[in-house]
Amino acid sequence: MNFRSSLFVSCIALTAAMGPVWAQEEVPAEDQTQAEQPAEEAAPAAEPAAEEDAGPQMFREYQPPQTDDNLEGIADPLLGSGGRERTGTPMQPEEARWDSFHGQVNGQKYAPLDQIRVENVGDLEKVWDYHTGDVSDGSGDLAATVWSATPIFANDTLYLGTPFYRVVALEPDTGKVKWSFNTDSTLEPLTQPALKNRGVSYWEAENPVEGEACQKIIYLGTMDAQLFAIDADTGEKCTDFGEDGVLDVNQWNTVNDRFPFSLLQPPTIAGNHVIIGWAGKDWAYSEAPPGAVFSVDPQTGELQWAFQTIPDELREQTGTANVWTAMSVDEDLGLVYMPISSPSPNYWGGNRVDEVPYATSTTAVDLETGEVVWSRQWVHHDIWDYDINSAPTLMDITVDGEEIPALIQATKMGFLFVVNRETGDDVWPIEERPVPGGDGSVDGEYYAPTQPFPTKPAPLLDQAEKPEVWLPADIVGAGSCSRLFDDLWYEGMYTPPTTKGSGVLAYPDSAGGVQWGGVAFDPETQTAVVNTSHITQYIQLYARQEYDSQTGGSGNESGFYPQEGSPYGMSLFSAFNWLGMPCWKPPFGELVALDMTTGDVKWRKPLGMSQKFGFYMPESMGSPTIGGPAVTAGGLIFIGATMDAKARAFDLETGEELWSDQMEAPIVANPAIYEYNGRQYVAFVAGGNSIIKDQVGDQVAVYALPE
Amino acid sequence: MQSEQPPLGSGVIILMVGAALGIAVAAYYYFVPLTGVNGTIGAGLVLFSTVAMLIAAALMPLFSSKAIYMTLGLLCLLDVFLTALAGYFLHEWLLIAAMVVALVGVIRAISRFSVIHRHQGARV
Repeated sequence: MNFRSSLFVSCIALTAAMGPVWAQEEVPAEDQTQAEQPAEEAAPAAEPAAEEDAGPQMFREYQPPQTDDNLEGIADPLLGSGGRERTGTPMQPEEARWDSFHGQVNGQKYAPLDQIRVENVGDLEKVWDYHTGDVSDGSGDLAATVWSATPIFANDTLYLGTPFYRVVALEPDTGKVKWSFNTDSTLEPLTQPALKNRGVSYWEAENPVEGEACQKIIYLGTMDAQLFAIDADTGEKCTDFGEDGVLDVNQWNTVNDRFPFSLLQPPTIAGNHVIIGWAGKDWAYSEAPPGAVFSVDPQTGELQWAFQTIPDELREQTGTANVWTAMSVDEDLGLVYMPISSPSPNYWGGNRVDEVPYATSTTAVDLETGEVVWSRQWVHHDIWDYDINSAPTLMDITVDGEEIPALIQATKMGFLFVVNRETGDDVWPIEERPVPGGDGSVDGEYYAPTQPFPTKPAPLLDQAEKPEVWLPADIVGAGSCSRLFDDLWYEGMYTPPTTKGSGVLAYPDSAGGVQWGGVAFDPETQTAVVNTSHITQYIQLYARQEYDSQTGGSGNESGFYPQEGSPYGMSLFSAFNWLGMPCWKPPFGELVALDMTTGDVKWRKPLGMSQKFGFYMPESMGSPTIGGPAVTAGGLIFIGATMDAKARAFDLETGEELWSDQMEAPIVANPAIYEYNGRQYVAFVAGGNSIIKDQVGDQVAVYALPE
Repeated sequence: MQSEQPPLGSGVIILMVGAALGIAVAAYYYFVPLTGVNGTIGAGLVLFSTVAMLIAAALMPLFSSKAIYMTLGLLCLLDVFLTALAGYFLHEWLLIAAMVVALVGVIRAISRFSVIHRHQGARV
């Protein structure tokens, strides 16, 4: 690789700036024997906690999980007993629908449509595109926009939320505007480094009253936690909802309210419930608002239940462990599945050495009451900001001849945990394996002695070994990459943060693995599809005095974050040479297909191309990815997610790329697939995200076969 | 000693045509939306390099000095290679085609000048 071409790889440098944006939005050799031991026996099933208050409005007290405490300091699995009464609402919709963030509330991102197939996808053409006008590159008065909205198709309309907190309703076949609604919300990035939006939600009454307004409602949240309810037909506010059509969700921000809640992720809608999580400000504070999820009435906004994620006695001294991404729902089982993030501060846990069982977990709660039915903690005592960041994907799979109601939980760590979605029990064994403890440099810290490791599917990236130094980057950097890697501590995943040397190598880092696009699933072939990133960063802790002297105070300097209230500030940087070339070997991102009957990888391939200054890197290197896939009965995967801002279609069976088209910015949302008047459409939103590339957009492009 | 201004040979004309084609292609990729590189530093760079190539090609016949003529020719040759290389990484395939035309021109211009210079040298 010559000097000029080496510039091209500096595109990955952009991922250095991903830090807090990603956030909110190996076993040691001597332990290998233990690590390879068979899976530990599952903890005995626990009954759901008893309901304490059956009132219509419930701000429920934290209910500690009832488990046998097998390992000190580790939240053991809380398993459901099974045998739940079923409502008869199928988990798998019988008709094509794309009326929620992941297409369906089961999180499958699956369209049972086959007009567009492997044989004809190459003929796909753009039938319309639309620019919202709600875009900022950050050079003016407004912060940059980050637009990760998946359009939703409902009520014969395509609905969009924008990062300026407007709703736009479009005709699905022409893109003509039906109506738009402006919340006139603040355009200040109160909790985020950018103005963000991930779309809108849709609800319709089971028995609509003819002639009455707001029988079909669109919901849009704002940066300052105002949830707007808008009539899906007219674009007028639903005045019965909250106060004059607006619910102030921040009214429930009453503990450590250092920042307001932000409603960037559209609520999850199931039955007569609008289920709301919130985003906050990571890495800044030790004590922060404690995580909670709220269910409100779709027409009035009245609180139905609230689920607290942090034990009562810890709520003042820590915080977050919130749900900032989408949730999934099995309406048949009456369960809501919550991907819960890590507690604060993110890289030091001396203030929360007691168990926080629901932190960094997938927790299933009863749709009607909010009571916990089962919970699996995927990272014990999380000090790496490994938020569970995507809605689990629900699926019925056949393993060894047994039909299992399962879910798959993708993670930042690159692990895919597969459990029975009724009970939380393992489908393939999930083992507690020993992980490295601290090096003694960090005061007051506790280190979980083990962490959960799935035995199947295989990790999406090999975290057992220190990533290899990429020779071209090392040469261009005059050996700086080798020196950096030698100075970074790494004993496999879960090597804890340190103050020593240049810190600890984080692979994957908090930006790595899978992001909020989650896993798509084709129920016909029982194939799961997921995109993943390979990013190497390094974390260092600084004693408070040293941090303040190094950074000039507890500001929010690039790469340095204060963790105010804890004894340690921290820094996080991507591992680059002086030219911005990544120090680790490519690929930087991949698309992976898994056979969910066996848990084996069907195929995997580098996804997209990295790009910097316009220059493309070779396809074999792939691109870091944000966004996610969608799959169809036509045997296709549609996905954007890459730095090169291309929409692509792949053969689900082979992984062969069959079609692509250029968009104006990276597609950092899942595509939407819908049928209208007998024609199948695929919609992509090109909004961009500075995490992946410094390029923003406001484009919606919709494709179909020629008529 | 070189004493005559070199004629506007076919090599220079071909080089100018290649550079002009390169400008057109580079401008298209830079200014037209959805080329994948529109508005990028890389696309701007090749637009600049092709304009520089055209100017250099236009200047070549104006200099009677072999040293200047050859220097301009070699700079154009370097420009052609680097622009084509950049075009490869920018996925501007038509730019590479334009640079092939320019390459033919610059080689012809350099070699033709050498021939003329030898003939003139023989007359002196």
